[in-house]
Amino acid sequence: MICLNDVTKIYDNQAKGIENVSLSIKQGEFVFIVGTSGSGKSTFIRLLLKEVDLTSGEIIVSRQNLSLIHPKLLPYYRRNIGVVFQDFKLLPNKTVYENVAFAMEIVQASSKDIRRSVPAVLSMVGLEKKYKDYPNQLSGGEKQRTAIARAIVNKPPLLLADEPTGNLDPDNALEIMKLLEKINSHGTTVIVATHAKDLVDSMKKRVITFVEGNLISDVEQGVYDYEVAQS
Amino acid sequence: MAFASVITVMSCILIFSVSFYFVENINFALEKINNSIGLSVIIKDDLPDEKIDVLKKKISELVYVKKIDFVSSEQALKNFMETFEDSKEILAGLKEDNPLPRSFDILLLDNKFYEDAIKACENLKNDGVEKVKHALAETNVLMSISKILHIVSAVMIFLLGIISIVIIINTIRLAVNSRREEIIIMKYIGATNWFIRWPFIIEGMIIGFVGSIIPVLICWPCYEKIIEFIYIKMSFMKKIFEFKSGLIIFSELLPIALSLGLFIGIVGSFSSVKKYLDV
Ligand SMILES: Nc1ncnc2c1ncn2[C@@H]1O[C@H](COP(=O)(O)OP(=O)(O)O)[C@@H](O)[C@H]1O
Ligand SMILES: [Mg+2]
Repeated sequence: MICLNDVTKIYDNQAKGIENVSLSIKQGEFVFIVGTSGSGKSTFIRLLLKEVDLTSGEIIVSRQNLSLIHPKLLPYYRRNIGVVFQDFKLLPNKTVYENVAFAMEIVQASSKDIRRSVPAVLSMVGLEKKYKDYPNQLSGGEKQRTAIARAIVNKPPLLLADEPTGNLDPDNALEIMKLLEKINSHGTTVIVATHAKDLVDSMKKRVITFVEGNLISDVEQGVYDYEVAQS
Repeated sequence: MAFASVITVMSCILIFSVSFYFVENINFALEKINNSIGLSVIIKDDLPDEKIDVLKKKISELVYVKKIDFVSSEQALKNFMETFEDSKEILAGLKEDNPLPRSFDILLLDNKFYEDAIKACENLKNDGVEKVKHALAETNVLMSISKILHIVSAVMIFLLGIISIVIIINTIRLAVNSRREEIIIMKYIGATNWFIRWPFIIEGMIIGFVGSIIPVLICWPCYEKIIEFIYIKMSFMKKIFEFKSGLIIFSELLPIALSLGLFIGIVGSFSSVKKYLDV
């Protein structure tokens, strides 16, 4: 589903994002991207979103070469990807329900579809009772569940999460990971960038480690290897 | 934030409207003066009366002649006496032996034909024209004043437009800035640029509409009040200066101000959003 060939991203200020990265991820996989701060995890996520353009190499997502996507068609490409961030990015003046419905309004879903899909996805993430609350009335874990509900309500085949548990306590963090695993079990490809060692270790998923922008290891059912990450 | 933008557009359109009223009135006055300047064709003393009609016909055949009036010696004297009413007695003797010649008063369709008209009449010497009295120098001055006025007002309107757009872009940019998060989220979810843009464009249109209709609606009654005030306080103004009708200026200003306001609003919001769409 995702294929990177010798991808390098150098930012305008000459900072190295990632360098000579080649990897492939199959449909339905659950993958952790780990590494210390500044190792290039977010750069990898942003490249997949085509939020930044690569400097050299080639990225293929769902048979599309990202460098060849016309700017006008970029929104339609992004509709195939759900994305979740550390800071949730919820709209403070909308309720949980409205925040999720907003994602469907943007892709111009019918109001009938919205009324059917939003409650279903809210109950999937366990927020069916909180649909009327505003973000500032929610705990961190609930905010992230809302963000996840918004990311998957349009049923994208790919879900990207950049440090989704960065602002959460360990219990909430684990629940979010379990939720992502549940979404993955329904067939969605999930890629999680994180440096939460314990969580990664407990999940026994594929782990790709970045060090200073280079892909250092790629292990099935791996653990977050400090030795490798620090080397 | 929308409130600040409306105020900005309103001040710009208000300045524009006030200048518009001034320029319209000055143009109106110039036009009136310009239209009342005519030629006077003096007829040779020895031209028999029956030839006068022939001459009149020849002059009225000139395409740019709007109006031609025959002024007899008696009429000329009467006009002359009226002008110098205070010196009636001194002039009384003139009645016996009227020295004033017969003439034609001519009004032209447009004063740009002034020089041509003078030449054409002077060419009719053989048909009985003695000479042509004219105000060519004065007309030229008036024409250049109105030309300058047109240029000045065009430049002023242009500058005002530019200034308004710059200010409005900045004000709307603040409004857009406060919704940056929302725009970024929309981009991540896959909103098209037009989907993100149109609410801001609509907002810009409303700001432009409200910001231009209010000053235009305020200016008209104020203008009428000011005229009333001037005529009451300075009644002599009534004789020397006629203000252009408020209704006519209003009906000319309304479409211009509205399109200017809408244009400012749309351009302002369009360019403010642009910055955030390239993500
Ligand atoms: N927008 C940017 N402009 C310039 N340099 C950047 C930008 N984003 C990231 N970088 C640089 O790229 C490198 C990788 O950053 P990032 O991908 O954010 O790492 P991580 O998410 O693993 O912490 C860092 O050295 C960082 O300073
Ligand atoms: Mg990061």
